[in-house]
Amino acid sequence: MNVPLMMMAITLLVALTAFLFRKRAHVSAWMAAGGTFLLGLLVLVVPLEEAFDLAILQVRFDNEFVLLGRSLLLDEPARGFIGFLFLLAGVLLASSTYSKTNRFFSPLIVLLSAILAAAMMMKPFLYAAILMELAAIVAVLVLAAPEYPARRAGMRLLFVYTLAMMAILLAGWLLGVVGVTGATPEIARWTAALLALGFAVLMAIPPFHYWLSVAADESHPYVVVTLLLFMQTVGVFFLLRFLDTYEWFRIQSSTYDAMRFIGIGMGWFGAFMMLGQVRMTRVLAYALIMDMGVVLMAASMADQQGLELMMQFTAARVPAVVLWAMNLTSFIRVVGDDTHAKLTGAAHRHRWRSLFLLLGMVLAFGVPFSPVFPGRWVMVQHFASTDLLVLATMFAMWIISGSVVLRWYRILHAESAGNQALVGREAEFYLSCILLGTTFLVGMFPQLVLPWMEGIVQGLSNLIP
Amino acid sequence: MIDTLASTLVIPTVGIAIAGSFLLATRRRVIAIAALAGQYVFVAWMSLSFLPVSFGMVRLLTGLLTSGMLYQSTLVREQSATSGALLERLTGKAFRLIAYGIVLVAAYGVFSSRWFNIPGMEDLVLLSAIGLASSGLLQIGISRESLPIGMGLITLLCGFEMLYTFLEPSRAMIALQAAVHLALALVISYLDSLLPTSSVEGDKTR
Repeated sequence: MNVPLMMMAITLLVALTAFLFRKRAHVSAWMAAGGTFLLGLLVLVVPLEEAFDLAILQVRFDNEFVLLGRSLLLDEPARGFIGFLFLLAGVLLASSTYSKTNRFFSPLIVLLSAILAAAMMMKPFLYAAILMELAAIVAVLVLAAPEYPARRAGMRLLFVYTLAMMAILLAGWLLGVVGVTGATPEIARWTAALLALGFAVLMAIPPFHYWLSVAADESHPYVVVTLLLFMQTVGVFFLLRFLDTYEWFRIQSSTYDAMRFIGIGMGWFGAFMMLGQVRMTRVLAYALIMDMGVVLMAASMADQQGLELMMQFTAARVPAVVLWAMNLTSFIRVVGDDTHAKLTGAAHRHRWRSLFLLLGMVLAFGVPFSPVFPGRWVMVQHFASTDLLVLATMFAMWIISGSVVLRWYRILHAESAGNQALVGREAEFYLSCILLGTTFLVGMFPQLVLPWMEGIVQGLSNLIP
Repeated sequence: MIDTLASTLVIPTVGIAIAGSFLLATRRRVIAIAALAGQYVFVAWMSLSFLPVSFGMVRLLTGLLTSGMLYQSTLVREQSATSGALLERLTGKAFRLIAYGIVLVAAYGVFSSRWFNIPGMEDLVLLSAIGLASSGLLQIGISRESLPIGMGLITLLCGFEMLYTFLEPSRAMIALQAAVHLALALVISYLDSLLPTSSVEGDKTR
């Protein structure tokens, strides 16, 4: 049996099923979530390239599917990445059940997962850039819906991803075919510039995040967060794959210097942009940009620990961010929108929503007992002796994030007319409790989950000998 | 005959330039889509000089399908898109054509500086690729609605693909590029369909 082919077929089947049940959003979301979650587990546990007995049959799972002379190869690193991607899709889809996204959200997210999974398996790896463009096209279909006609955001997303595709294809061709060495400084400069452009788009590095601010205004907050989490995660995987595949890119010290400076820039930019926003969706979007800055700063450590931290941050932020996004959409449903004016005093009427929302914010910002805190503390200890600018950025991010939480706490708890509490709990309450519990569990016992994420980079044999 | 077509590169080069001017200058969506289809025909023609005939045919078919999909989505909007005062329409056209002329001169400048020096590539193919990419970028920059921006994006991609398939002429690449064009046409049509009719009627610019 061919695992990549089987995986694509099952994903399409799940997407089709979710599509058929699109008018019953809850059913569609739960089916899609269950399907992607099972796929994630299947990818992680299936024994590849070895025969084993299953009842009376002898079964062997092949890890390569060849099409038009190119192959989809499920090797060890791709397996970890794809497993994580499907599990992420499962969590996001399950949490979307009560977010009232558009009715095509579930099938399209499953389809998006399939395309991104194919991109990660693609050999030669260069071709993945075209699949990323196809993923961006599907992302636009998710982003723009009749009730949220995010046309500007959609066109901007398409434009930047088209630029990224072109840049990565050309850079990959220069690296793989022309060959970049120390003796070809002109080509090396071009390659570096093209790669910088490509990754800037994939990781939503300013100013290539410009689709995001419009999307935060025009589209559904949960959809924006879902897409950003997906795209940034895949951006991290791409970066690791590129580092692993192309030696020239990996051995340059300037690669890591650039990551550090971009990371610092993103940290400050995201933190300051969060301060003055009047819409909470924008705060959430800039928080994710700030987070990606931390991921890049971790990558700039240029050692195994840094790479493991990258993966850890990519996974660890998910429950808190989802908790925040889910309760924000819940608020929007009851108060109308996510602006400062509409949310003023809303905590008095919607106590548990407000509590979960603020807890989601606090935990996403990496306070002690949050899942990202142990990794951030490791970074603080590392950079305390090597780079004070990174250290200052880390502490500034904590301080600014704290003031953002305080500001929104005051907005939500401000005095306003009609402050009597609403009684009654909805299903979202229980889902939020589960997410909060997961966040605290991972935060207090990081050894339960995070080593698995860190283990993914072990498969990158060139990067970690 | 195919060999004769493949060796005649002047006609598709001029054709691409003329189609580009229509794409930029016209306010009528149907004409713009016809120009896009024409542009695809000339790009496929030009591809014959460095790609097998079957690849050129795939490219042609993809282009015509893409144009057909965009045409379907635009039928309902045609009437409103032609509204606006005559003087405004003429000055708009003049501005666009002048901008297009400047961009073509700049594209020629890039071409003659041999910035992209790809061994074995015909001069006219390189010139057309740079011209297409530049005019695509111009159209993206000066348009406001989804359809013209989308057509600019497709033009930009056509230019890039002409360069890239010369470097990497594989079946997988051609197939994936065709998929991207069709998916782009789908999503552009979708975004265009989200435009409230009232805003199109009130919008004097493209």
